[in-house]
Amino acid sequence: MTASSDRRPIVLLIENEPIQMMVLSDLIEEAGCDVVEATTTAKAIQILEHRGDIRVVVADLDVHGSVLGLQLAAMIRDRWPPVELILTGAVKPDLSSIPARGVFYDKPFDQGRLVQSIRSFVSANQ
Amino acid sequence: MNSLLTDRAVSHPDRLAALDALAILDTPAEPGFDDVVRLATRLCSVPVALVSLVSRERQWFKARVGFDASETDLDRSVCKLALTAPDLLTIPDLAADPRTAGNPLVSGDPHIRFYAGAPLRLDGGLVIGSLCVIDTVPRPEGLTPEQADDLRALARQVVAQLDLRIALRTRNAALAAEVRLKGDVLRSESRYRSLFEKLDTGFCVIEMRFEDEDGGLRAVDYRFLEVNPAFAAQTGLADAAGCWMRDLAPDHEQHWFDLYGHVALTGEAVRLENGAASLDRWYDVQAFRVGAPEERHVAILFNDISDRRAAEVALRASDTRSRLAQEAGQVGTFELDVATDEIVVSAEYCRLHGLPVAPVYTLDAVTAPVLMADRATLSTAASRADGSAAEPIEYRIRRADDGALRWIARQWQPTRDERGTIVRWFGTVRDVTERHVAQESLRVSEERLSLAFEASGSLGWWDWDIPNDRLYAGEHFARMYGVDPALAVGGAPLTAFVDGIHPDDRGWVGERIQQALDTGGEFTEEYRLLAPDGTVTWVYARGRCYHDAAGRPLRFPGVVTDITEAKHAGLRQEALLKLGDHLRDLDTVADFVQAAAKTMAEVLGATRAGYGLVNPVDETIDIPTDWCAPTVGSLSGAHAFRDYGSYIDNLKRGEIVVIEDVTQDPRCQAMADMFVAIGVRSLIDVPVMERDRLVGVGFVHYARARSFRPEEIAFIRTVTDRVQVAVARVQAEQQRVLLNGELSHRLKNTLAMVQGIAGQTLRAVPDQAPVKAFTERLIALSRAHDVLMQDSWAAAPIRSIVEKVLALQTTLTRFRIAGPTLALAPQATLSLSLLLHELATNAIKYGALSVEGGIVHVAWRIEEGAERTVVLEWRERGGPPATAPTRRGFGARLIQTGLLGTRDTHLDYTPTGLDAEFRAPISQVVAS
Repeated sequence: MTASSDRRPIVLLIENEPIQMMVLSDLIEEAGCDVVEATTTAKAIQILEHRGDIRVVVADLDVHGSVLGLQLAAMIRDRWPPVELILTGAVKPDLSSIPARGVFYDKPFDQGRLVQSIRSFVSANQ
Repeated sequence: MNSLLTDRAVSHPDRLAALDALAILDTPAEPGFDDVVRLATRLCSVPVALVSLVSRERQWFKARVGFDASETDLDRSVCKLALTAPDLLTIPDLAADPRTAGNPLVSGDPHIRFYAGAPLRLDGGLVIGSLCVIDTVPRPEGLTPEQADDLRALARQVVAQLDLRIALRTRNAALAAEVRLKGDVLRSESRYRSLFEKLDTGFCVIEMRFEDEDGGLRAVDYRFLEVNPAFAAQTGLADAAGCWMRDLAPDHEQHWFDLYGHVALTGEAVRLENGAASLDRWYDVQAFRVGAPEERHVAILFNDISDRRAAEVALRASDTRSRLAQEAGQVGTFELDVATDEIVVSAEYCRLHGLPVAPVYTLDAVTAPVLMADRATLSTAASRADGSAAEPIEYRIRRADDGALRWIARQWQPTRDERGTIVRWFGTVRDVTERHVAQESLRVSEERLSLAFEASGSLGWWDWDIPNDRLYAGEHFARMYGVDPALAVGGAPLTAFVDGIHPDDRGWVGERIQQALDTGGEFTEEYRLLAPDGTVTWVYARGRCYHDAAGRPLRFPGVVTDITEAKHAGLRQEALLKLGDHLRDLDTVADFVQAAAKTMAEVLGATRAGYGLVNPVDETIDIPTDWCAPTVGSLSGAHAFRDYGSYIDNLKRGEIVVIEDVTQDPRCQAMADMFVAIGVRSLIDVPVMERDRLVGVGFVHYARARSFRPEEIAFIRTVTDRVQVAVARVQAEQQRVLLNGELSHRLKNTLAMVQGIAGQTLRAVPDQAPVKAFTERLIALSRAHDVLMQDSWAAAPIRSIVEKVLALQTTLTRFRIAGPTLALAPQATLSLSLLLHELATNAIKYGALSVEGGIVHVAWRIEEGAERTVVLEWRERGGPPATAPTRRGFGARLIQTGLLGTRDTHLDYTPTGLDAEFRAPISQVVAS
């Protein structure tokens, strides 16, 4: 956020579990991105409405249950179509309900692959 | 004295008999006698001469000269005096002789004075009269001796003449007899011929033929000399005359020949009945010899009695019957004096009662044989006095003499005096035992049948007289079909009974009846009856239609069983089975309730049925759905219990509520109108309790008042219980799914957190490989949980586990997976997941999966033996030669430990790759 030239892509992370938040923040930074954290869905929407630089949203569906989480994902896809979606959860949802281009990681998952997913989204959009 | 002697001579019987034998009195004059009297007058020179025959009361003149009268009485007879004279009687002056002076012929005209008479003496000495000469002047000198001799000679001539007459007459009589006889023979010949021709009786004359046989003659044949027309009709032998019997009927029995031979030889007539098999007839035969013995002719009269014999045989068969009929017909009479109780009885009356025959008995004496049981039917002094005893009665007696039990029918009538008072009863008694025995046996057999039927309580009988359309039925049958039993006993048209059949079944049952009528076959059906009060009865009817010889339906008897209980039990059983299937297949409470409600309503014939979920706090019942008859509205929705009376309290205590009539039951009487408004007149509510709390109510409603059988209530209870169990199952399932989801969620989140913590903790460690290995093992474990969770943590399909875990590492195309379907127990699932993870990790690092084209065969099988064992095989091919690990890390140790820690592990590091086998008892591997 210091200079536009070295400004790194912004990833919105929605997670209400502190340890998970810590691990996922590390992974996002490892992928070369800056993290904006939100612990609630409402907060996340607020951030999305006020910032136009969110490139990727990493959301834990368990935050408000998978159904609410999926509704959020669908809403993001609707209102901010360019924003990429990476979803995690302990219960694998119906894959057809995941918005287009979205990916899902079943917890616990291979962290390396998550990092790769973020990198590929960010670079593709650059 | 002389006159006395004369009188005795006159009436001498021998003399009179001899005179009668001459049969000469009153016969015409004959020249022989006339000649004699003329000669006498000349020889004796007298004017009168007579042949006088003296009978008992007169003298009659066979010949006379000079005398007018042909006869005189004996008073005027002088000849009678000659009867006793030994010789010629001469009286010179009749007027002077005292024997004749008084004779009118002497004293009067013609004034005879002289008499000389010669007796007419027959061969035997009997004197029948005299030849006399008479003069009207006395002749004191009498006859000259020559004249006397002449007169004697003439008298002998008269006697000779009389003898001649007799001889002549005898000859004439013989001649006449001969003539008469000839006529008779002629007449009888024609009569017999006529008879012979017209006779229905067969008649023939035969000539026997004999052959010599040791010491005798044997009749071998006979020939018909004469046969009458009836002969042919009786024997069937035409034109028999002149024929030999052997030729006509070769098989004619020898006994016939013997019989006629016997008759011909002995002249003995025979009469017998015998059969002629060759002619197929029975004959009544009379045979007698005719003609000269040496002719050996036999006449035979015979009658075909085949019909009579048949009738006799039949008669003998019915002999017993007729005897009994006669016995039954015997009538005794009696007359009872009301005042004295004396009873005047006929002999037959006595015999009927077995009493000694006597004219009078006391009433007590004739009442004594009557059975005590039947005495109540007898008249009493009062009923005899007022005439009310006039009805005919029948009673049983123990016959006084032989103790036989007999039925007596008594009829009588009172006779009254001028004041109208009954003074006597006159009547008859008859033995009617036979009728009673017949009736009794019929009644007993009917009663026995009927008793058996009625006692069963569920069996009825019918017998349909088809031509007259009269269906006779027992009491039970009649009641079942709603027909007055009294009517059914006398027979009622079929339609009367068909009306009792349930309208839904009437059509097809009618078709089946028709079918039985057409085919004369069996009728075996189950159908329903509908009583006017709405009660449905299931019956099993079994009958058969019988046709007459012409194939027309005649009778259709059968029995019918009330199978309502069995049927309902069967229906209930069937319904419960079906419901069980439904409940297994369905998975929402609403579906369960619908299925259960429908089942209950159908089986119990209810108008509405359902199941409600109870909220015990606010006392409401939520009915998700219910089943209703077309005319009844649904009650689905929430209802406040208290609106429907106080029986909620019974339900809360877990008591079944049975209300047979809402207008009568005190618990809901007050709101009966409300029940009726929703179509409920009677109901059953079955509570469902959970830990003493009312949680559900099964209900069945009826639009009319009715009673409930225990089986029905039990059925409702069972259905309700099953719904409750099903509901509980669904609820538990839902909870478990929820719980499992939550558990899995938390578990995996925890694993993810462990992963995160480990990663953060070991961040500074330069060698990140162990961290990665740790993370991967964690993930493998997590996948096993995923699979387990899909079946609520109870069991996991082995193939799913294998594929899930292996897919974490690389594509499944590198594996050849084979084995039978097995549901793994949770512990085995986790063990297998970790084992496969380590094997795959090693294969990727060092083994077949470390090079392109290498593959791994993963297979499992069940090995039979003392203990059934699951064998898991892992064979790597297409990779480098396998070498045993030099380091015993976590992975190597985990592999060595094997499936479920059994350590039954066989590892073979071969040049073609790793061959590994792991064994564990199937009982531990497979979910129970």
